[in-house]
Amino acid sequence: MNLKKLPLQNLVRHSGRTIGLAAIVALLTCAVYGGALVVSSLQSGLNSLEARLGADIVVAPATARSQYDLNEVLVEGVPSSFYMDKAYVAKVAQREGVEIATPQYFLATMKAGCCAMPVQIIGFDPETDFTVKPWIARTYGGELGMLDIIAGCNISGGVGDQIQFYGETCTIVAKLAETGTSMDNAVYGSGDTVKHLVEAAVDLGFSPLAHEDPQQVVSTIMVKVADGHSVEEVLGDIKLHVRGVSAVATRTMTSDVADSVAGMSGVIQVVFGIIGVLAVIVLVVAFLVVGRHRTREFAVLRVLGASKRMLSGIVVKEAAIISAAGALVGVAIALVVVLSFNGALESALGLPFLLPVVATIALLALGAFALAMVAGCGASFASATRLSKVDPGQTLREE
Amino acid sequence: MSDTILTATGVTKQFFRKGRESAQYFDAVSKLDLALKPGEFTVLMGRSGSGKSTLLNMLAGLLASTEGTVTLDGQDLYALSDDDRSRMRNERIGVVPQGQTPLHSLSVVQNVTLPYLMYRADDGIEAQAMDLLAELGIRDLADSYPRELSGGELRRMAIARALLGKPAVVLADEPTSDLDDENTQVVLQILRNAADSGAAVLIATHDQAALPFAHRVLRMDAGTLMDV
Repeated sequence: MNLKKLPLQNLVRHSGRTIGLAAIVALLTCAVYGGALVVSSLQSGLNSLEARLGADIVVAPATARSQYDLNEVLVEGVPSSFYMDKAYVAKVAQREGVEIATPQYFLATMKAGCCAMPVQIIGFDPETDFTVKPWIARTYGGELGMLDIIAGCNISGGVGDQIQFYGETCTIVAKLAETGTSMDNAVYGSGDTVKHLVEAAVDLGFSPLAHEDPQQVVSTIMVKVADGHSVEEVLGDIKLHVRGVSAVATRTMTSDVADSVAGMSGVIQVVFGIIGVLAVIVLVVAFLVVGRHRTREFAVLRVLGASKRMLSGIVVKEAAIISAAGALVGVAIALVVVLSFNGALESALGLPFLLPVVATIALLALGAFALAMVAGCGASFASATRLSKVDPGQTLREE
Repeated sequence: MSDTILTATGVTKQFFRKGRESAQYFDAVSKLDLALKPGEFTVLMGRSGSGKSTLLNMLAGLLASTEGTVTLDGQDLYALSDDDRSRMRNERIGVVPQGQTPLHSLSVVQNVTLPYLMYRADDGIEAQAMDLLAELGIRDLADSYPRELSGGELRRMAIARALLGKPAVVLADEPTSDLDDENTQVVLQILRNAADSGAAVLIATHDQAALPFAHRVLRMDAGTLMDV
């Protein structure tokens, strides 16, 4: 036994005290890391949502605006079906500043015997699509045939499984990676597939269409603005010259979500920050209280020949071990909770929620660990300073 | 016996004391001279509060004097840095403090060997520690922890701790408190043996049993020293 091994021996022999202090560090780390993970996931979710929407402008039937909240449909993914004449695609495409205009077809399935589950089916035109294909391509490189579908990650069933929609059997040819948005609950297919399913729905008496021919309608038109033109300018032009439609800049649609994410992130940072600060204060007090109880022990070490520097070293080394153990536990708990309940967190927060990439998760863990080490060792500093100045003669005479 | 190894010259220690009606400084130790020689067993007697423990703490380099100097091997202890003074105390002085002073997280043998291993490599010191514990009658308790020991056993452990490594100076404050007559004799004999082996041993005690072992007996009264 020497002074290098003494801190560990002290911690092991006083396990109750050690566990108590480590638990405070774990709480601090859990709060900081958990908060950072949630905030980062919200930001990732928002980024993912913006990336997935892809288009600069969304054009929907004017009637859709009165019947549905487009934000709910396009951003939150509430299943819905609305249509307009497909001639609008050409009208929009002809407007100045429009680089690409591509149609999408929506069909909400039913919670009934005809359908496996109530989901939003989104059809796109493989020829002109620029919003869905790029990220579907990461999962599926083939051509989508009739009744081939690509399922969002929350849709039950794996690749090769078949699911029924309006009596038609669709085959899942790929599953998408998690986006943290409502798109995880949607199903994607070619425009022809969706139009076929619309017809099947009509045949079964579920009539999402009034009298129109399913082949002659679209649900939305996704617009990409050409370089050299502003979104506002093209949006104004469409609103002015294309009657019977409602056009919205996606930036304004996601800005509500962005505001919510910013607000929620702020609240989380404040709440978790307060928990972190309280934990640091409790830690400082705990180290001081523990130090007060150890005055005699340190007086004995002084008598035996330990220098003030050695005594400070013992306190700081013990604090470092406690902090490292507590930080590891805190990081592990936060990670397990956020990983296990990220779906529940997404529902509870009502915002896009996508765990960041592994490198970011690891970096945040490293940051939280480092912060806990600094906080733990820093909290022990006052105690180390006090104990190193202990008057051994006086202390040993007092008891 | 050769030249002095530890010398106190004109040492005074003042403490500030706050009374009910007034506050004042008082001298716990006053202009005291003392020289400890290798191979000499000195017994310091005196009433409680006479300044014995304060003197021992000053001699051990634990309490700076208000006036005067304490030299060990010709070096002014309080002119040294804390690091150097602590190391010198560890390597040259064995201290038995007043009261029970175990480190509760260490076993008995670990308590005894820790000071030796603070600045020195482990060169089989545990075997020597076990021999000392055997001499003091607590060898069987080597792996026990302080909470399992009686007051007398803890006292003997503290003495083994101070003597391990054969320090040049041994300063013991009430080394026989908590001991029965038989163990008092054992401890005093061991301290005397240390002196006979060349150490300068100074014990502060009320215990008359120490007198037959002493080469020299001093009495302290109101912070001053007189030969008996």
